[in-house]
Amino acid sequence: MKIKKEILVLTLIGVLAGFFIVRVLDVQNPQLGISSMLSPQSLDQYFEGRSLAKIEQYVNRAKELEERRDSLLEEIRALEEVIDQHEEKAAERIHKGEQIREELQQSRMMANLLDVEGPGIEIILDDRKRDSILDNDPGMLGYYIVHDSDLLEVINELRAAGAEAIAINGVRIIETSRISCGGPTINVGKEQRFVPPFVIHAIGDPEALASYFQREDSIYQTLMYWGLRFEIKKKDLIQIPRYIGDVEYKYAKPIGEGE
Amino acid sequence: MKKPNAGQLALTLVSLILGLMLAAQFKNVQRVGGNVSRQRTQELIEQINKLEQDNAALQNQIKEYESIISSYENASEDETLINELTKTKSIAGLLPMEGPGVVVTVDNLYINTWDGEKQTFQNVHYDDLLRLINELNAAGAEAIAINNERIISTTEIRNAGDYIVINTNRHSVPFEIKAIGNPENLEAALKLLGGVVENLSQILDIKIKTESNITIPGYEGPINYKYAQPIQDKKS
Repeated sequence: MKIKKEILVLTLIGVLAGFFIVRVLDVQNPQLGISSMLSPQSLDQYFEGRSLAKIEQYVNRAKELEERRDSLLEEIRALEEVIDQHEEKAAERIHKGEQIREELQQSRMMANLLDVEGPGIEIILDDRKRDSILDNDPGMLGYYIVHDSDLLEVINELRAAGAEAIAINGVRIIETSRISCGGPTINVGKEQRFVPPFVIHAIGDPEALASYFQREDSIYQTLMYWGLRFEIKKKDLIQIPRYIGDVEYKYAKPIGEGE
Repeated sequence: MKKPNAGQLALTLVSLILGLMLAAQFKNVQRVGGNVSRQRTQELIEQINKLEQDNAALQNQIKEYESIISSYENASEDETLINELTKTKSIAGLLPMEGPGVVVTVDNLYINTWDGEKQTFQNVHYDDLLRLINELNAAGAEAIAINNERIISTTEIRNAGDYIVINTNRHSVPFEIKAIGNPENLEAALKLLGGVVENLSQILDIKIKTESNITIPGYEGPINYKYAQPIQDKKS
């Protein structure tokens, strides 16, 4: 009985000692690569460990930029108020001034220059989850992931269903937004790249927007067939930011507005 | 306690090895977390890029607003307001535009059957047009129209029977796509080896022409926003 207890303690100490030898050696001299001898994959884990410090750097940089953006937006709102007052004053003096202001506001709406809100839907689109079908069928991988053309189809169907404003991952979609493939990322708008999942917001009649995807020829049916994630949620209130980006015409000129 | 038992020694050794293996296993489990951090890094880089672009655009916007305000203060208020309206309407696609660009015609490909009759190889499908438009946008097109339907941000291109519906109006072949922008860039993007046109040319009849002056009509359809409302400034 006594011997057994001794053996038990010894075993435990042995196991712990082995465990800690690896941990200590690993922490003190990572270049020794003790753990990489034990598991071949852990070498790149070591590099990832170093990237943790980088992540913190990135997080800080992103926070900085976000604060900057917020202060720029505040400045913009203040300037917009000043412009609004000037417009009001000008409109009072001009013939049909109020009508011009109304037209201006409506054009801004159409030009995607305003933050908007209203009822609508939220779509979450993602690659198929890893499962046995996907693993056994690597040649068909292309069918199981979200492509730029899929996003293009979804946006087009939302427009057909009467969407009044659309955003992908918070980026307002305008008429010249291109959606293209950049390897594992998808470019939306100018140079903005996104990785799945994609969150698409659309303002419009929630019922009409959601039911459009139930049509037989909808991209929804195709993507569901291949087991991608395609969730549609109706929402009472969706907010979509204005288009942020330079709209500059180098080639196109408006043809004389015939008063 | 002074009995160096051979069995105990062996056991210690085995335990030691077991411990080493356990540590290795532990590392493997941690590795899952490592993958997450790699994805997180990529997301963060995308986020930073987006923010940098946004901030640059916002700064330009501020400069523009400042020049508008100075124009209100120092030049004619009426003229400034009218200029603002024209500029906004052109961004909205409500004004006809002119400039250099390309004209792309898309038609069905006809083949002669053995008895000398013409037969359609394949009809133009809405997504052929969708893809061409997307390609033109990627190449920096500034204004686009298909069969004189101005493409705006809410324009749909969908099949409805034998027709293709654009801005809720029905259209059929041949389709004429007009795009204003740098003609060389637009043409090159379309003619890219293995690009959209090369692919579509196997089933459709596509012709591309660069032109020094194209006119594109403004959007003339109905404008009604029933659901989207501007978010009111949070004035306290």
